[in-house]
Amino acid sequence: MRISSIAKYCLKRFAMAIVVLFIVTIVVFAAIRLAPGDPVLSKIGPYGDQSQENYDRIAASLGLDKPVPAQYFIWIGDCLRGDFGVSLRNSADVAGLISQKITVSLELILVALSWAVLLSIPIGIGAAIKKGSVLDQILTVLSSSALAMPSFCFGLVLIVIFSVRLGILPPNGYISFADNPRENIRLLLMPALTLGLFEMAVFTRFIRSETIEILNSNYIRTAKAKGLPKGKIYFKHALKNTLVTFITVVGSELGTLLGGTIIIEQLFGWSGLGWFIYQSVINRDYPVVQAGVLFVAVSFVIINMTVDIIYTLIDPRIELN
Amino acid sequence: MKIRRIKVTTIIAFVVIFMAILMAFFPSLFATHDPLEMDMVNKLQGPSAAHWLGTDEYGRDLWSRIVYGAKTTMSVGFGSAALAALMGIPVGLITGWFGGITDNIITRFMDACQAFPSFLLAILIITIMEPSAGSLMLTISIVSFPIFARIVRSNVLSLKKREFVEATRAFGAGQLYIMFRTILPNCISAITVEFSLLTATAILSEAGMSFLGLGIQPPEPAWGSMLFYANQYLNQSIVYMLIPTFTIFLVVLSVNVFGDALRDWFDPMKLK
Amino acid sequence: MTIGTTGDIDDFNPQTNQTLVFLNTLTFNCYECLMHYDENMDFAMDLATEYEMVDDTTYVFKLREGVKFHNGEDFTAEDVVYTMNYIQDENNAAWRAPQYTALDSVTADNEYQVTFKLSVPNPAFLGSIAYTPILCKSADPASLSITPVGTGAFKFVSWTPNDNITLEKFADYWDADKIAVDKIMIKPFSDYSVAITNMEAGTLDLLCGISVEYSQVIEGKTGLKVIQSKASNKIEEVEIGIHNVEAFQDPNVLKAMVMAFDANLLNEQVYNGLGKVATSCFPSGAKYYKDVYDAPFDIEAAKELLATTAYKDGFSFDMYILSGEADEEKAAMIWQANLSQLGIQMNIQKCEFSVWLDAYLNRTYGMIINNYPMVGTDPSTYCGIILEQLVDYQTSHLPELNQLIADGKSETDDAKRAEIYEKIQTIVSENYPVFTYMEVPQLTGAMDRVNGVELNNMGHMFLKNVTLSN
Repeated sequence: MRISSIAKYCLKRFAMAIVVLFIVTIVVFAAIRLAPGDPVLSKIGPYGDQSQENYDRIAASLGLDKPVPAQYFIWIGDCLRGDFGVSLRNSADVAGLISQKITVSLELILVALSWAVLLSIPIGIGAAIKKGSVLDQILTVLSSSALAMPSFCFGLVLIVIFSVRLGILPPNGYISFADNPRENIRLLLMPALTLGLFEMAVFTRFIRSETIEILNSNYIRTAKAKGLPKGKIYFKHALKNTLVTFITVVGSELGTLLGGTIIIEQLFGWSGLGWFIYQSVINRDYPVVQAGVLFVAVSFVIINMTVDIIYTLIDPRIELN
Repeated sequence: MKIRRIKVTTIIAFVVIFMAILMAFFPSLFATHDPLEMDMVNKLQGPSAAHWLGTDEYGRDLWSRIVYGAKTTMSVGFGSAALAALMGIPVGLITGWFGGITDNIITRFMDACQAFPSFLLAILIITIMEPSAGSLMLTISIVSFPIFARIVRSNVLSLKKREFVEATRAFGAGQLYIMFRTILPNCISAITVEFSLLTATAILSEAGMSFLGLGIQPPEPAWGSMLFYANQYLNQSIVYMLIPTFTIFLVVLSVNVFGDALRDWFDPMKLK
Repeated sequence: MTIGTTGDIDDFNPQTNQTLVFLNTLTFNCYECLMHYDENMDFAMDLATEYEMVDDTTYVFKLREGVKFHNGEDFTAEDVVYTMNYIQDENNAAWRAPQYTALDSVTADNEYQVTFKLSVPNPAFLGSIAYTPILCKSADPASLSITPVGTGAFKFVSWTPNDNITLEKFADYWDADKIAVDKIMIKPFSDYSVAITNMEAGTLDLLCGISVEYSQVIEGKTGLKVIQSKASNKIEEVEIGIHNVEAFQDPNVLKAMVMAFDANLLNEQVYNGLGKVATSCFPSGAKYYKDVYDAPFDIEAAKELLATTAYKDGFSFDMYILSGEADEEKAAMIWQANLSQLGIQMNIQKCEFSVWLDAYLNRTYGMIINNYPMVGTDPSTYCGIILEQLVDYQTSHLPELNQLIADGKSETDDAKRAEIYEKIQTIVSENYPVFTYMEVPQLTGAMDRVNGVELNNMGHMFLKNVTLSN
């Protein structure tokens, strides 16, 4: 009974996801073409042949001479066959360019999220248990402060301290782990710290308020009244319940960060997906922007779907709707 | 009934916000110089009696630029939140109240908005509209109005089944009347809290967009774009960078603290 | 060795990519031309060993023997013919094509000699040859954009977008003994301050195309230095959309505006005195250069002059500048502040390259700032690239100017050419379709350990003789 309803739920979610992705493709396709700036003119440049014939020739060779709806259907058709096209700039394969960037971004995001998760759980729960104490107040101030600063400002401060003043960390760049593990980690430290700090502030606040709510709930009170040991109450009941909802928060952050860490990637020269898509927007490299945004949206939808399904599996009280 | 104590931090936060708003409306009361007046010979100076916070790369007075920048930045902050509320509240009310197919279509559309990485969406919109204070406002509000709509919608869903709404309906009140006169006032607490959060986010977004070079066009002062230019002189003057950073930090922190205070104030848990 | 640039290179075909960052850093190290302009703007022989101008329209080049391409093929006269045909084939959309419209035929006389025949005399022809990279006829033209195959001292290895371009020493180079650097890595940076921090940290050897203002920051740091070309052909200029803004059709309005441009202040405070205040639309390295400007900075006189025109109450217009060009932004901002005293409102539109280019090529601007490093020393290249394209727009009311430009292209008599180009400079300085305000130096930031960088007046950088001490 339950299994079939879960399957039905998954199916429904899947159908919705397809609709959502369809809308995303239309929006990105239209938006990038509405932006001023013409990739054909970029090819001609200030010194090239300015004649209309040359313009038409280049437009045709890039496939930009057809009406926009026709271009859209050609693109969608190709995508469904697994062909994401080639860059307008140099005819490089878009799928290859993007897949190269995904692992780079994922490394940064996963490291930043991991340390944020690992630290925020004990801190958040500790602050909730000792609610109102000096420690709790300091933590609240710190987390509010972290949320009040543009994230790159913290990054700039780190660069000034560790690279300019102390000269112990390289200010920016990216070297893959396979090529040079030591340099990779040295370069990763500052961006991961910057990104993680912000996430930690979000997580800590969430865990704190969630735990407080659970500690005030009836069944914990009952448990307390029954005289169960405090440790058992905190770790068996409170922690478990907090973590279940926490998964969804971490999941949706993961989805948002993929492709959303443009500023930090650019600041630290960490050549990931977000920065690459941004550069392609600037260059009006339509196929790269389209495929990049589509990839990010697909991952976002899949991550959220997975999280929701896991959530319903862990917690049987959730209504399936 | 117990009189609730107002925390010192809330008062400080309120004062900071009030001052920023005052600067935005009456900059000439605070500024010591014309924010656009250049003095190339005295560029990138540290704080002094003539220039309280020093000067920028054109020798313009930083204090006066912060004061005049309040107008742009605060209007982007409040303007974005207001626009988002204007778009999000009706959408939330309609989807929550009517449900069914309207709800389904609009909610799917908002899902699509959220599946779009918000920062990338903002970049796309701003490249279409060309950077200015108005387009920043519009961009930020488009990106964030689904959050508003969602919150209002969930509030409406829970209010819909409450007795007083049923009662109003039984008296024969029209749909619009119920939506705007009965349900909306009961969502005010959630809306106010969300409004303050969005204002803070919008100020930070202005800084983020400016950092990518998509901010306010020069020479108009705005805190985010000041930060962008200061960053280019990091090797020459660290003070220059710290000034807009600290200003943004202080105001956003105050808005957040104020928002938290509002939340506590409205929170029914605390009333018990 | 690591080189920093201010933008990524994403097209490696030297016939389609015309960006300065590509031209200055990679082109002449990966590819070679028959010859190039050296630091003194003399021709230095590369793939050719000598050339002869047989008559006004015939040039014969003797080619170097024993040269190999990166793919192992031998370099012969056929490669030169192939390259010229490639450029002239309109399907390839080669950006140098307009410079070779006068080229009638290229023939390989034997394996190591080519003859170029022109339809009309072209004094700028050798200048074009001196920066036209030679392609390999057996390399796949479809992949030229991703894998360059040249004869240069450094061989292309890999490109990771937004991250790095790796080159390595080409072991079969015809002058391989001189190459002291084994590997070059080109890295793009989003801003100068981060790049300079990298130089201080010792992770970056060279920083190309730095803005003039940053050169003093680099010079102030121990262990860093600035390499400067002997002179500069690079000018910064404002192109004026006379056809778009009514007020600009009155030359006195433009003159008043120019008188409000404080070029000396700009040079002292922003360019640290390294610039050279322009006195003609041509760069001073151009032949027939003449000091023709006579509107010195004087804001009061500017006000008086404007008061005599129909626009004494002011007007407003859009000024397009390219984001990332810090020096040009400064120039616009300082001018804007002065113009506001005249009641003229300049709305700065700082835009990304694609938007800037849209405005530039469609000529939709009120004013636009552009910079141009003139190739060679013959002013006909300047006229061809900057002035000739304005014929239907800014200079449509100046038929005499357009006639002079056309005449100058193929005139061979030196005295007549001098006369033509002096007239052109005078007409431009009186009517301001363009306003050149500054000649800016070609600068490259470097760590002290880097020696032997060859930087010519156009900003092209040659690295084959570079040595790293320590």
